[in-house]
Amino acid sequence: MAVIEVLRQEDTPKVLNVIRKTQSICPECNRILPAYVFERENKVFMTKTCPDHGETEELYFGDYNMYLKFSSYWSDGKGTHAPNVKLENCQCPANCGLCTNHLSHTGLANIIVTNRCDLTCWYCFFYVKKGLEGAYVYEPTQEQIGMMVRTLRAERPVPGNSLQITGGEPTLREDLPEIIRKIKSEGVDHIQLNTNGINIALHPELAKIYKEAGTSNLYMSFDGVTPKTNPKNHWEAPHAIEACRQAHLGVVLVPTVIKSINDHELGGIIDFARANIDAVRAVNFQPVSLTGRMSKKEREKYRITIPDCIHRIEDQTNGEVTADSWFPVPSCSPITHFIEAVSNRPQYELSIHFACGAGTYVYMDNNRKLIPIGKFLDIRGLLEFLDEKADEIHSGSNRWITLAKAATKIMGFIDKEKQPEGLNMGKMLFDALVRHDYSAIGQFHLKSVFLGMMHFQDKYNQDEERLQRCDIHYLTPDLRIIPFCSFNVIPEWYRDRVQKKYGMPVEEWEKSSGEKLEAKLYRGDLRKLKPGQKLDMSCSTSEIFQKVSNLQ
Amino acid sequence: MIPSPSKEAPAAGRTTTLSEVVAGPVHRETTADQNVDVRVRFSIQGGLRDAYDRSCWQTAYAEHDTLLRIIFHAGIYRKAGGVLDRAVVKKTKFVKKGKLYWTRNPDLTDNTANRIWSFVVDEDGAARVHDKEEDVKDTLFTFDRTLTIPAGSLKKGTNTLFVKASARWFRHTYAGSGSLSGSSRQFDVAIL
Repeated sequence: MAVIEVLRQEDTPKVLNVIRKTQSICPECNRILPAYVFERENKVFMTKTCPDHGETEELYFGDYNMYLKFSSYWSDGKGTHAPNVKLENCQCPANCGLCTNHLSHTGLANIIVTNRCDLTCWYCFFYVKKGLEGAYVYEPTQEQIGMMVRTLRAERPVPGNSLQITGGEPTLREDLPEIIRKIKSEGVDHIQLNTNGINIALHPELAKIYKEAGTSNLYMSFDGVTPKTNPKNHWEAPHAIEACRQAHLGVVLVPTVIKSINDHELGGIIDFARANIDAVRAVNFQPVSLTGRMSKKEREKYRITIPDCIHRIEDQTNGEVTADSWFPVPSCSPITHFIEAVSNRPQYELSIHFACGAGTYVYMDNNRKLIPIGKFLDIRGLLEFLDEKADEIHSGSNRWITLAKAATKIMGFIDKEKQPEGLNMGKMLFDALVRHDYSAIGQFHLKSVFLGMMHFQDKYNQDEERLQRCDIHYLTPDLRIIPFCSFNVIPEWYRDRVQKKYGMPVEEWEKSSGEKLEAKLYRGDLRKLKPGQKLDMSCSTSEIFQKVSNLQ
Repeated sequence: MIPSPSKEAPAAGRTTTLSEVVAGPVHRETTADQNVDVRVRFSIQGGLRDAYDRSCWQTAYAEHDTLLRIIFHAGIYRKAGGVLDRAVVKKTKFVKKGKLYWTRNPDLTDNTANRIWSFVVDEDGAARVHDKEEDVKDTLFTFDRTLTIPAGSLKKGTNTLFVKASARWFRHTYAGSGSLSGSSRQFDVAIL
């Protein structure tokens, strides 16, 4: 168990422009430490000092002004009323699962269905590596999965309703369609499949099978638009997208952004999404989480934060997606609070920490130009307005009269002159907020892309205030619900322990399954040359690939 | 739904007042081609302000009553006599928010009974975290801004002006809803 080291008030460094004081962990020994979040040269850093291992200073947020804007939307959530870990046994980040200290209900639950993968990416920490001591194949049974999902559905006041099947590479499990059906039958509405897309590229019929089983969308790794930045699935992704297009299965592209590796291609990735706007619903950029031991110099080489990505996107889209278009995830809270006030029922709420994630919607106009919705919708004004209406209802105003009055004023937040042709944002907002009819939003999605950011933590920038508000959780066979940034940031306490407890050694798995772990490794079949093809044409027989090539 | 404040609520039976509205020009004389800056300062005192303390934050947070919005209005008027007083700067709305959050600052979480703190979102949209309760209240309940009058909206010579101000808030577990208003003393600005 970690020990809390509390500095006295007078120990606060005087030379720093401290914005906030919080707690973090020592990247060497996991000891809980006081941490200072401070501003320097318009960037936000975190510093913490371990009595045994010294100081760690890390870039926390690459733009101080954006930090100030984002922090104003900080809004603590309702938490969960059915915790598995009692308060007296809890001391973040130890003993997660969820506990009474946790401040967000599950926004997205992850179930690892296998930790086997058909790729061996150098920066990935999610897959079983043969030959390493303590390598375990982890594949929960369908019965275990059913129990995990029932635990999710038992959360109160908001039962978990959105789930991601992840791995390893989940499509390596042949019973995946049955697993999807089982999860659906437990009452989960939204099922997302996290995959590298290679199996779907190789076997396009899988897209339809997964869709019919109940998958809502694919969450597909996509790190760049060149083979150099995206060696993982550059050649395969267009085929996987085409399979999803045919199956009417939406795709979310998920680039892991690493400074000096692929941060120059963020605009290109958005261009790729635009070229496939009928199939790609979103791009969710994930600034890299630096796992393992790294020197400060190495960390500075690779570290990138949400504002850094946002500024690069503005530059690389020639100003189409401006930095001021982005809002932190908890800025959605006024919408939730308004709907809660009207419906008098707890609602699903995205109450993560403001530094964890951000997003914006971009709409493609008739000239194929991307217009962020903030260009024709006064988002800040609308959120203020909804907060005020919720306040009025809480103060005794009749909720239906307040709702009717609000409905008449919503149009005032839309600049019709700047609204793209063919879009009726007023009707969409009216339907969603007043009638709770989301079909218009579905139509909106067909010509729009959601751009998101999610910065998972690591031991260098870990912030207990962020962890406590995490709403991306893992379901485990011991029926705990563990925040992502505990599960993966301290794997020795969570991920590795769970996989060891509920998995089996690789050798034993190979013996019982009758196959070698490496047998399912992807051998680059879609990249192999046919007679007469040149190397640069290896995948160019595909029309989709031509589109991608034109973007490069 | 946030429960109504009970008779035992911290602000119950305690009067909330508006302090004197203090307003005055930064420069008493100016030329017609320049703007006139008027500093306006007033604050909420008494019941609501006193109630918004650490013990109240704890109980309000437990009810998920985490957002206190204070809506300030301020406008500058030229004295003409009775109903003829004319606004030269329309009443403008400024919103400040006190937001309750569970802090991990070890200096503020001396025991498990005290872990909720409040930060303030200023009317310019920036969040400010203070480490003293009184500083939180000062930032949240004090209106202190400079309003600018376009010189063209004043006549040449001496103008007698004053400020009308108000503050409004909604119901919470610790206080009922309320609104207060007041006016500043008159002050003169000469346009040369």
